[in-house]
Amino acid sequence: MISFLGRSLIQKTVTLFFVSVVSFLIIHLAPGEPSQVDPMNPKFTPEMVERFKKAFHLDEPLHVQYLYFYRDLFAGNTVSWKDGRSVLAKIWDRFLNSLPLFVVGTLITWTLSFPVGIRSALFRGGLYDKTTTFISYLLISIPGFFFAYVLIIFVVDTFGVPVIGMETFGLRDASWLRMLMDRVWHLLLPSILGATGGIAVLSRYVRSQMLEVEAQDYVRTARAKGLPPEQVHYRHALRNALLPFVTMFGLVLPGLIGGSVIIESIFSWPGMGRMAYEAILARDYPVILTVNFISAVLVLGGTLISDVLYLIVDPRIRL
Amino acid sequence: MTAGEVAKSQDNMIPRRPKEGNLEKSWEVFRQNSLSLAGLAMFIAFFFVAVMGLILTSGSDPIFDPALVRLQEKLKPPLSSPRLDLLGPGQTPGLGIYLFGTDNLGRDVFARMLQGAWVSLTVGFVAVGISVVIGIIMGGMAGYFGRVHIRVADVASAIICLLGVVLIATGPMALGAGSVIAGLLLLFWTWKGRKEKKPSGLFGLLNRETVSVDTTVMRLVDIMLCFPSFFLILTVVALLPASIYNIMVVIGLTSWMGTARFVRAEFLSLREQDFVTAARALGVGNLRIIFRHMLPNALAPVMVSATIGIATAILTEAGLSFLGFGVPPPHATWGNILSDGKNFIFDAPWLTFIPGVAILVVVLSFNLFGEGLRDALNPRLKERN
Repeated sequence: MISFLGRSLIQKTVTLFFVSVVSFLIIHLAPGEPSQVDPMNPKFTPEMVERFKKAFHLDEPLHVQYLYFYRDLFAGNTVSWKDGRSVLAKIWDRFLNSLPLFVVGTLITWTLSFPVGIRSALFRGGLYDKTTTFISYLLISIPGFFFAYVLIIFVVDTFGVPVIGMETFGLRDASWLRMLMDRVWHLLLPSILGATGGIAVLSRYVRSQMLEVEAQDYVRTARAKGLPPEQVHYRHALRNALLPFVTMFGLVLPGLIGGSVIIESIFSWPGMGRMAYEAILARDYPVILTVNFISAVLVLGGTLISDVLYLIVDPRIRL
Repeated sequence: MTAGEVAKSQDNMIPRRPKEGNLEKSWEVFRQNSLSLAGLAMFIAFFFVAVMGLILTSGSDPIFDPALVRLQEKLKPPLSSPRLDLLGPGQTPGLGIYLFGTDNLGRDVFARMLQGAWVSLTVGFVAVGISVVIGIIMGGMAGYFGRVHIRVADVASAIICLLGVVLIATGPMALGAGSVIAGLLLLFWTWKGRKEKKPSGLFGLLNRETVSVDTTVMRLVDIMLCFPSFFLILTVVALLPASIYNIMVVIGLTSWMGTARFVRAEFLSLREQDFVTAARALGVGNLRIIFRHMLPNALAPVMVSATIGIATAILTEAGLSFLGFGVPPPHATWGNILSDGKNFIFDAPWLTFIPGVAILVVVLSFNLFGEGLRDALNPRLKERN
């Protein structure tokens, strides 16, 4: 176990190093320079550009820039080129905005997928199974922003509640219940949209896992010895079918920072994805690189967690 | 079995083709899945529409002109007929009515959808083509030559060659060309020493084994998987000049990892099978074994992931268009018709719904077809579905 942890930590650090190099190269070798960001701004004089280049070491060769950048990142004092704020503080603010979306979306995904998947596995080939299969394909195939507009029109027309943004502007002196409902309505649609793809994929996966376990000998034995069907399905089959999903908790982690650029754009939600999108538009390299670095750390950390969880849950696995 | 039949079967002891080929067997399985059949039908229909779209909307005087602006006829609802008294000669829509309405510039949405079908199809196919080729090369290398170790000399010559290419690209041509030649010479010089048991000195150092090919390729896959894919595509597309080719290439370059893994896994198991050993014993070359004997047997999962990959690529293109980084204006794609239409969603909902539903139907058909293909090509999986 210890040696496995050590080996994968080393491996992941090496991978992380290469990720940092590759993302740095992609950003810096692409045509265009950050000094071209705003040529229309009268304050953006050549002296400014010079000062800017000096302050952010843009005159140095690439490998020196690389070292400067990651030294600053690890010391926690990278600043955004756009507004001079600390990148980490900026990311933290936006992260707090994205967090409710992520939590509610994940909750919706996990609480809906399991009942749907299990039921369609138990009634395989039936009407319910066929319908959910088709619906999940539909949900995978629908373009997210098109679905978002359909949902917005539907909700606004039917319930007459505002849904764009994080809260309704100017609700300061409304009652707390009204404020709460306002927040819930604003949170609901983007979370549902964020969850659609997940529900479709996860429920199919639950279904196939469940079908596989139901075909095992020990389930047949349980049924043969006369146990009631509920006990067979939920105590013998489901528990074993759940194994791979424990590990998926680790794989959910990268979603924390990914956010959805498209959904956050539609709903004017000031979250991570939106910030990354704005940073790309403004060529704010420190923000882009930091987001990329953190998400790479989360992906690698997530796979490590899922490997370790698998080790703990399934004693048959020895690494 | 009667005596006559036994005698008859003994007459025909020479090996024959099986009565039912693999293709027929797969088709039998595929035919039973009505959803997948519908997907296949839609797939073919879409292909046909896209080709028709290319023919009907291109050329100097197309039947359906997607770029013709009629400002006096803007935001006409679907199925409305044009006001002929307001239109100049040659401005009447191809069908005599606006089948899908007109947009905010009075362009015929039907013509734009026809043109967009071809563009979306090319984006999907070219992007997936690129990713499949890279995936097969990477996965094939990892699966077939996985145990070969990269030597110090290989790394050194690769670096020298790369340096040469960079030099050629940036200025000093002669130095760059010299560097490339030096790198290749180093490679050839050390190539001969591979078979020797214990080389020594500089030669030994250059021939020292580092990591295996398999490790290198799979770590590369890991690195690529660390990037959030849509964010990476968005970054690269936003930094590069807007063009339809950049989008195809970028989507292709960022989505080959799944194919590479499938191909590697298939190659690892195929490599150990008897027919490959037999081919090798007959003295068949490595490349011929890979492409003639192993690749056809490894194609099933690649085809499935390619079909679903086309669907994903079309969705990605639509998403990029929505954010304003899609295919630039002279080309109409379903993605940018949709993202232009979103500004008029209450006045002209058809500008949103027609391309939206079209994308949905096409992507759905690709997904259903791909899933059906998976079951048909790999009947063992059928048990689990």
